[in-house]
Amino acid sequence: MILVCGTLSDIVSELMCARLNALGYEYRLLDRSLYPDAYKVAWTFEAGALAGSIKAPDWRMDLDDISGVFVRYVGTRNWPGARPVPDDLGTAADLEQQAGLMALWECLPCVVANRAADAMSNHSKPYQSLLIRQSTLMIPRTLITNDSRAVMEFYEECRGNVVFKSLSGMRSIVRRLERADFARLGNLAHGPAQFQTCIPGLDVRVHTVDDDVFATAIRSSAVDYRFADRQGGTAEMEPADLPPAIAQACLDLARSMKLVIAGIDLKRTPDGEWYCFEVNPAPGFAYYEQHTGQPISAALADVLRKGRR
Amino acid sequence: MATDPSAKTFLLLGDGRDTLCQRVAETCARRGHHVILTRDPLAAPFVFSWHVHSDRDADVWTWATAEADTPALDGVLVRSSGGPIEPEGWDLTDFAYVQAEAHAALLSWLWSLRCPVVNQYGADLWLRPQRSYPEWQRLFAECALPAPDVLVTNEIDQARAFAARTGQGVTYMPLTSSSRYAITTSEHWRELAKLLDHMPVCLIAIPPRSSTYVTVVGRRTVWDHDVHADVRALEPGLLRLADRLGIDLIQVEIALTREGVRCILGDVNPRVERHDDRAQQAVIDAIVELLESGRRAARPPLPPEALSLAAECSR
Repeated sequence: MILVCGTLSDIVSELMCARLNALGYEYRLLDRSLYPDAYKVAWTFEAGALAGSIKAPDWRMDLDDISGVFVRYVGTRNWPGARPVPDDLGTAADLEQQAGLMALWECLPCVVANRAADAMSNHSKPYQSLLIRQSTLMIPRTLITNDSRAVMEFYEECRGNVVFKSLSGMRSIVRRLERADFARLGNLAHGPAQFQTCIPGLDVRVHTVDDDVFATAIRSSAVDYRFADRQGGTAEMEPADLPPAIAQACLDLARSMKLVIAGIDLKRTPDGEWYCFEVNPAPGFAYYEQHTGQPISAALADVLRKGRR
Repeated sequence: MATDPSAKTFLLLGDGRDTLCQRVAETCARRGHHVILTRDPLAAPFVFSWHVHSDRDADVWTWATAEADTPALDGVLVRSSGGPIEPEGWDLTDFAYVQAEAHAALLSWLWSLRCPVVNQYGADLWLRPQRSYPEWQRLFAECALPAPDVLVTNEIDQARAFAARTGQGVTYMPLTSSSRYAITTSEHWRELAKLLDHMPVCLIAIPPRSSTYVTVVGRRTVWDHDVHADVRALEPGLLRLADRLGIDLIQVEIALTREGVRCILGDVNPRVERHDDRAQQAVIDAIVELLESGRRAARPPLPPEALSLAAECSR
């Protein structure tokens, strides 16, 4: 039995449930917008062994029966219809609910796509870069600094082909550094930022699911194709083939991070070099699947049903 | 800057108010080493630049301090993850962003260093140094360390049944803090029931009475002098725990219960004050020796399967 933990307002959770329905695989949805009000949970860790159950109004699931869990970390919100929480408990209740689920995913012995612990590298892009460069993939020349002069020198060395992006997991839009931005560089005194040489070429998003690799080529005029419409551009996608060594490097990278599913951002330069920017442990694969028809969710469904890694 | 050729320069990432940091700094100074103590090395007044390339050997970093352009670091002790700590004067969104950025930068820079780094956390421990009791319990189980039973539930009947099963009362331990509350009276149960309306709670089968602490430093375990022999028998498992997490410094709270010795919680940011005077000095000396050793002790965390093998080999 598969457990999906997310909400139907999240397009990825919705796609996963639809795929499991279409494949006829047994699953249950733990709807985060109804949790914990609509559910009864009880699990113990006694003498090193995990046991327990999750009960919804219309189903009950023993933890032993779960072959795989698909988790979307949708955050804590004031979901419509949720039981009001007293003011003195508000934030604490949110955090405790979240921590309770995270602890359960960490303790379950089955496949979990993905555990929070394994996803943490994505909260430091340069830390990920250090892991990426141990593979055959290249990383863009990068400057991390709190020194405005160093940024200006880097800008000149790279002939103005520089982008800046967040170092952490906080979502930010990748932007090109312009001379006009130099006036703001004094803010760096508060802490460092990340600057990278702009790599020309074709964006390729790779999804790895256990041993499977799905590559999507994205043709876009925008600096950050995810925000092409905001940046006045377009993004067109099509399935792509990867050289075997690059596909293997992606699989190795995801495995080294213990990620059951990963979204890996690559760029192929006109010289045929492959750069890797990021490994996303919670990829929005629905977007790519809908545009290319690649069976990413079906592959994940199979892994969750088989329940092994 | 140190002039004695055997003297070294250590970066202590922490706060002068932190006893452990302060005493490591004093011991280093007594041994003739130079110490730079700061909790936020990547913000002004420091000037930091790090060029990262695909080829690690091409990396270059500069870190100008008030005293030197780029001191050659011989070792780092990590007690802080950097970034501003006081939100005063910040817009709260900006504050959270700057803090997250600083944490992200410092984590990666520490992994790029070639000198010893005590404690070198992986991304998970760096970003989630405090974890819930059930997560600790899973880690203890992987390392063959005994731990009290635990229940996570939002059902009052399950909570009561668990308490009855343990036969010795239970302790409520929030999943997001290390606070504990004994659940012994009917008033306690009423309060617990109110919480259960809004969240699952974590109950552990142990009264919240006094505990003892052990600190693992490198390959050593440091105990208070009067510790029970049964507690000392945990040493191999505690070393496995440090290996499992890939760190050289961890403190574990241990209780003697009716059922025997039980590991309660781990702390990857140990407080030396939890020990008696002799053990405190032993912890400090062991940390300084790790820094002086020049060996890069930190290693990637071990997977559970490697631990089972290690446990079998050590039997």
